[in-house]
Amino acid sequence: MKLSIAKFTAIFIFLMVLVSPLSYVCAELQFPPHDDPGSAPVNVDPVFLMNYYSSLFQFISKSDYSGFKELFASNDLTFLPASLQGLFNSFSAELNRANSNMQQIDQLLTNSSSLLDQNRRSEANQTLYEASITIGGTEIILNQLGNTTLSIGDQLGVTTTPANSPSRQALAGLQNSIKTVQNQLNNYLMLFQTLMTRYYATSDNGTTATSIMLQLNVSVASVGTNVAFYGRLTSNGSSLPGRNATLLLDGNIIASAVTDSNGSYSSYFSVPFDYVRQVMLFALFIPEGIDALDYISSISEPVYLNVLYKTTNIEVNIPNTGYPGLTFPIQGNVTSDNGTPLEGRTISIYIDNTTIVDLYSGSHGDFSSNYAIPANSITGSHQLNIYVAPQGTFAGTSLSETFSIDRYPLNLTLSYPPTVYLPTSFTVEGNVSSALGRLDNATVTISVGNTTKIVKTVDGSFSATFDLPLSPWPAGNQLLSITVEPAEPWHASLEVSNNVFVWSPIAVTAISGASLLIVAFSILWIRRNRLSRKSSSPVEQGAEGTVISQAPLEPPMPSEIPAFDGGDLALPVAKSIQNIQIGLLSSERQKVIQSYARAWRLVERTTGVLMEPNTTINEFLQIASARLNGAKDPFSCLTALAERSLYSQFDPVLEDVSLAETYSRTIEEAFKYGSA
Amino acid sequence: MEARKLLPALTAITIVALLVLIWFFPPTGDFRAGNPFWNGYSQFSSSFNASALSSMNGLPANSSGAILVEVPYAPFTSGDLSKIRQFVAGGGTLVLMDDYGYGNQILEYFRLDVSFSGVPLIDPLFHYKNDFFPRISDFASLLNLTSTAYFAMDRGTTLLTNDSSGVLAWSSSFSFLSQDGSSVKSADDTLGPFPVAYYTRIDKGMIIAVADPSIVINSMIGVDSNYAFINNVINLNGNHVAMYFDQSHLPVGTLDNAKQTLDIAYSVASSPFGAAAILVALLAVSTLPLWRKKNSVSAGAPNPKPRNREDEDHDKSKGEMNANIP
Repeated sequence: MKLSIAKFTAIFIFLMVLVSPLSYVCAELQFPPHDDPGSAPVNVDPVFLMNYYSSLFQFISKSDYSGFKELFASNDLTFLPASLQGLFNSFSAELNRANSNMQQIDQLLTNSSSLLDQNRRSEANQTLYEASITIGGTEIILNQLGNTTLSIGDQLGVTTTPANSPSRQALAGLQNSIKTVQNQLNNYLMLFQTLMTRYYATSDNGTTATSIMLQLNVSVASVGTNVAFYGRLTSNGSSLPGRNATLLLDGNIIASAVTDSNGSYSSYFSVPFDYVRQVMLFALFIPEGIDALDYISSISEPVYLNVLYKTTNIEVNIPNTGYPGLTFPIQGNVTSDNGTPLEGRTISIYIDNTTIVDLYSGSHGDFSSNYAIPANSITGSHQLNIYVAPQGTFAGTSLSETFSIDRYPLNLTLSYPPTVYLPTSFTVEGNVSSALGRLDNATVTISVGNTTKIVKTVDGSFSATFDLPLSPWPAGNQLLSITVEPAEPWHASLEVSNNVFVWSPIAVTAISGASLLIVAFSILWIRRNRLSRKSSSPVEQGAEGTVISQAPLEPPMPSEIPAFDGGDLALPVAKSIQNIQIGLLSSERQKVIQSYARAWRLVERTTGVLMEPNTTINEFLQIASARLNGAKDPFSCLTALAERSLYSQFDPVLEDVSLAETYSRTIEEAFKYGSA
Repeated sequence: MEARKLLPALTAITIVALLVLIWFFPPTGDFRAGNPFWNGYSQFSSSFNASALSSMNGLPANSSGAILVEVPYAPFTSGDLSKIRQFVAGGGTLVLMDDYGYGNQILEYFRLDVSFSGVPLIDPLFHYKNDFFPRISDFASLLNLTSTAYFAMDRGTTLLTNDSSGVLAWSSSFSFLSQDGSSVKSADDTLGPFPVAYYTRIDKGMIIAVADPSIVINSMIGVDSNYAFINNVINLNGNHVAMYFDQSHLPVGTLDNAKQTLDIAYSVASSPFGAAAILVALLAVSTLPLWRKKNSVSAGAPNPKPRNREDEDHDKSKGEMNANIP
């Protein structure tokens, strides 16, 4: 079956297209123990989601607010599709608010109870008021959360499931847990009412209000100095002697005094070393013992005291960059506002919030420290903090500076031959230095191809010799990589790579020779094929039984004419050669025919006239003679001799053999030089 | 061109094209350092500048401060295990990331009180995308992760250990081990929390077991705090100086097989013997037509089977001429 190229190509492409998915499947992976998250389906488990929220409500109902916060911190870990995110985000936010409110209510009610215990009715009243507002707000939030559970059920598709399904049960569990929180809120409400009852009961109990005043002897004082405070405690205008008046500074008790017979009290307090410009003071009376049955606590109006202190200034001088393993100088000065050096001040120096040294300022307010940067420090930006502790009337101060830790870059100079002939010894030499000078004892790892050598630098220099063996590949780049690991931590490591052109003359020669051989054989093969194609293609029909090629006729060089082998000759001569080989013909006949064959082949190549199988050699002479020019006569004579050798019953004589060889050479020379 | 010549030519072209494609197409195998697709480790290895090892022989002699990342999906030889022991004893850190592979072989070799359960971990509540991507947020303070950090697993498993002091991360209390691999909790499935990362010190080195190698595949390393988690895990024993990633125990796909075969062929061809063999083969093939022609002439026998009608006619006319020759 004959197949055209077009059809064959079409079938081939069709088959390739058919097979291509198969090849893809073959190259594809087996089932891996992971999913592609890009194509993984989104899945929400309503049961676990609602159980999670139920757990949160249960924490609230048990007043375990910290437990709630711990579990609620995982809220971001739930993965919700975009359609559910809005609903659940608002639900979570309201739930968090409910928890905060419940915790606040708990705290407010506890405080109220404590204030009532101290007969501080007005403060208790204020606290109870705040609690009532928070309880009301929380009740609203819990109702909203309860209503939202219905929407959640709808969105998660729970309401369409059977009543006894796990998701329906989980939804019911969530709603029940909200109810337990509401019950807890009711408990708080009852406690609130109890406290309110106590509050009103106290006021209806015949207790009387008290009043306490506070004054200071100065309005401005330095830190550490004593300030006198005094005032008077009364109840309905009557003095209350022998009672304890407590002085509060910014909410903390700092002094107390006992009222005299006039209800007056006075004492001193030391202005604390807080180094703030103003403090607020109160006088507080809390009825104690039997007084608690008769009097209500009271607190004075606030009194403000302006505080004086001196500021401290600090200056520090550090380099912009430090190096691991080297010292990092820190120098500075501590002065007062007016520039007076401050001696003996305690100074703490921190790097990245870790104390590195505590020291004191010198007589000139100066201080200095040489910090040894650890060898394994991470390079990059670091923070230096310096704190000057307060001392006496001098406030403390601090300063923060940023510096970087880096490593000195290395400079590497290399020396190696850019081109290497194999096999050879290849030496790499180099020098390693940095801004600090030449590096000693650095580890240099040198790799050429698959061979690695490790050497140490001596005064920055290193050298390594590689024995590169003969390679089958003629030429190419070999990777030369060099890594320098310095011995000192303040130096950075260095890695460089370069290409070395390597070539193997032996391989080049071998491959070139082989290539030349291949080319030569290929040319020969192509020429033979072309010749046989010419002889078999009827390009131009000449006289009967001959073919005249239209190829340009160029006389071949004699050296191009191969030895006669009979392989592609026309039949008569070929048959004779067969006969020669099997010994049917005499040696004289063989020699004459060999001479003819050589000349005949030359004529064919030169004239382009090819002998057809049914052509006699005489007919061939007739047809080719027009193109023989100077070779016509010798070829005619040679043809006659060949005819006689082929067809005569008498063997040719030695003279004929000699003549035939002479004619053959003459023809060859005629074609070569244009004349015989 | 005749079909009989076109067919071998096209076949040869196709084979060469396929070989070129296999050579240059990136590997698609799971966890491969050169695999840039969703299931590869290319981002992980480039982020940490990991050197891929094709065999355990590539481990450095000085392992101090070095990290070896192992995804054990193929059994280990005693030689491999010995090399790992040397690596750890020399101060290296072995990060063993496994779920259903041969990680327990290493853990047993070191006689550690920890093993991979080999049962899928499911978290129906705290997860990424779906139940098979559990999110882990309970970390040991040693890991130095922020309180809001969490990472996502991808069809991972858990660890079994009695040494809770070595646990670095726990799954949530809502997670469970699915004995049948499904996302639906059955009565046999035990509830969490379960350890999913563990460390222990051995000599100067450290072994860290993570119950899912997929947390750092290209499609997962950017999810949640996965990168931060693996970064802190890797630097648990101090900042690492070098990282090695063993690829000799990874699952091998068809393409990987083909690439390995090509690699072997390339290395054989690169050897002097291989190069010489190629040279001889080329010479033999190029001179084959000449040999064939010479042989047929020296034998003196005509072609016994005419190839086509033209050849038959030619031979026939030759026969007619033979009759004229005495």
